[in-house]
Amino acid sequence: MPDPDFVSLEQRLLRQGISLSCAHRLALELSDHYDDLRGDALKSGATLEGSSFSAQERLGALDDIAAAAAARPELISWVYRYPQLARVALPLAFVALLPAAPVFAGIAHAPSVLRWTCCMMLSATLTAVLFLCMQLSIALG
Amino acid sequence: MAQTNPPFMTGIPELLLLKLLAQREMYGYELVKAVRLTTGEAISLGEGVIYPALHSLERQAALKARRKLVDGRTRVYYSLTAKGQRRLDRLQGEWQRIQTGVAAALGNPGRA
Repeated sequence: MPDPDFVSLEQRLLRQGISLSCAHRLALELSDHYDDLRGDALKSGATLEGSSFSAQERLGALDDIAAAAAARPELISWVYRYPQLARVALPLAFVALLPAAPVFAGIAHAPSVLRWTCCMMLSATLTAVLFLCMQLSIALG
Repeated sequence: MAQTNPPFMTGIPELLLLKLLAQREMYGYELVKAVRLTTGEAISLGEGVIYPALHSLERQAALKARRKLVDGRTRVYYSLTAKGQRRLDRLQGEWQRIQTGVAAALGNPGRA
């Protein structure tokens, strides 16, 4: 019996308008719960197949869980609750944040930026040395 | 599929969750086990649907959640807030009022 697809559940929750953090955490918690159920079933002597079956039975259908989440308006992202406000506020926020984007990107990928900078400096030094050698060979030759 | 009793369940999962979390902080799986244990398995919640209920209570500031590393696994522990405690008191009062009414009706069918 295949394990429930919690990644698909998360995507489905997002499509239903559940907020990103909530959908992600729900999927993680459900996955952990499923592992705990299976673990307990295995400890009580169930087979691998049997433990999957009983864990899925006790966890319930993912459709029902998705429906239960969608039925709670407080879990819905504000973007879905106030789409007209989102259409105005989000572009403005992105425009305001645009100048800071390179800084955030640099901080988020600091090791890569550092490696890139070192490589650029090394290649610039090598090029300068090559030019110097050529200049010297012309001047002395 | 675990059998539940939906006609009588309105508001009960929330009451049970708040009551159990008033005693100590717990993560989802612990909570489900505690519900089974404390109710003598008379109330069987669909285990997966407990999480939307917990998230909803958290959004309403009745619960707060925090991640905690236990035995190498990160668990999300839920605990009751002051607002949650007030909600629990209110729900408990309502439940006791209904329970008293139903018990009186069942005890005196002629009057019901």
